[in-house]
Amino acid sequence: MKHARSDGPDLAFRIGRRVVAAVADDMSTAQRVGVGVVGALVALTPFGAWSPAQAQTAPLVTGTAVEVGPFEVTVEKAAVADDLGLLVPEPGNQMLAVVASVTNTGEVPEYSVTLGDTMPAPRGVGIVPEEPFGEPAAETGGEADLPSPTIVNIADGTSRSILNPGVTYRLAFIWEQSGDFAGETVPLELIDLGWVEEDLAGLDDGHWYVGEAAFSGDVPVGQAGPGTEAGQQ
Amino acid sequence: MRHGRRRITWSGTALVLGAVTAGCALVTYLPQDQGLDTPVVVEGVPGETLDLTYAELTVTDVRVADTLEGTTETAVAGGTFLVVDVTWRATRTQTTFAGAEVTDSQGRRFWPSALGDCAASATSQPGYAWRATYCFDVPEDALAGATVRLARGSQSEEHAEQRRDAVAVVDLGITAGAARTLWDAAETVRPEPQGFAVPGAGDAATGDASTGDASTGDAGGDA
Repeated sequence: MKHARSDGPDLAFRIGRRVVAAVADDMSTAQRVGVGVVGALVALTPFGAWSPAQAQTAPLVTGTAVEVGPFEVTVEKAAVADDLGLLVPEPGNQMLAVVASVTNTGEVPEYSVTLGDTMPAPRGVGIVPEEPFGEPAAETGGEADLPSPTIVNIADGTSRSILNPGVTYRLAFIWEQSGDFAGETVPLELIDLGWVEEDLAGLDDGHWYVGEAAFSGDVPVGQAGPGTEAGQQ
Repeated sequence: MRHGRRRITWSGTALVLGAVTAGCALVTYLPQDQGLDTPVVVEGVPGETLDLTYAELTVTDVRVADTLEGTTETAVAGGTFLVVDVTWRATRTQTTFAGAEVTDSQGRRFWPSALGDCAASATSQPGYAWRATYCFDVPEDALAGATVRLARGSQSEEHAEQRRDAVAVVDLGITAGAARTLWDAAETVRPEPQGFAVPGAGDAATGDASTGDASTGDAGGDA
């Protein structure tokens, strides 16, 4: 007597096994080995089979220009202030600004959002986590998500959404910081950007993707003068 | 060997791979839809009215400025602001002119800054002349030979919105000699917010009259 059977996943498995068996039966041993190796490499690709080994970050030295993606960045210093013009922290907090000269070395304009991706908020120095839409700070693997910097042109205090090629700006990368911070340095990382000419799905060709930390170092923190505007670091 | 089934041979495999490779090469290297994607370029010079079918465009003045003084903010150039005054006249329907881009002699591209009352785009009703000022922050070596590309389609995404559409490319007429003079001139320009153009007002209506000659930052015509 035959028992009723579910034809769902079991049927798919049996069909798949028959297809594989039918193809493999007609292959020589060398062909089977070749197909197996190619299949293994394809399967491992999403897990970084082609990625280089985790590289050490190069030292980030103030006053020394480094290249990250389309930008040449020279970090000058960091400073804290009770407020920076229109950027006013919550009571008890302060504003932390990293000052850097930035040049777009490419041939097309770049968005300042892309520049912001290269300089994540320094960790462990009391940067106030972002709270999207008024919700409590999201936790990612035990660490809170830190906000992207507010980028201000120091010469005039304006925000520049576009950075044109060949033009150098002295910019302040600004975060709100806990007033309890009293360190003399902040650990800073610069993230490399990679260019994607053709997206695999063909839906997002020509964009920068955020890579790994390329440079890291401790940046000395000074005190901005009283009444400092965002454009007067 | 079983009857009715064929073995997969190396030569057969090579044949299939070769065919796939040849197909990929054809798709990659043969021009695809080039004729369909290319915009219709209408070239001109400052002062000339260009017919783009959907609009008439006139570049009325070209200046440079170290500083832009707007009604709510002052902007300082990282390089120098190339200030381009234009008049749009939509011919068919309300039109948004989203494309504004300067290209230098090296092929580098520069987008406008919406600072100090400068426009990044403009919208006008048909039949009316609409004045706008575009300000591009450019380095010194971008001035000589620079052209401005203006259109209703945006310049982002590699000019995707400008495919098969008319675009104006205006040679700003800046020579190498004039570029040095313009770069050295420290000028403040007060761009007027975009709005209806006064008929017959000409260049004087488009900006600060104090910058209206070559010695004080005017790059148009004289340069």
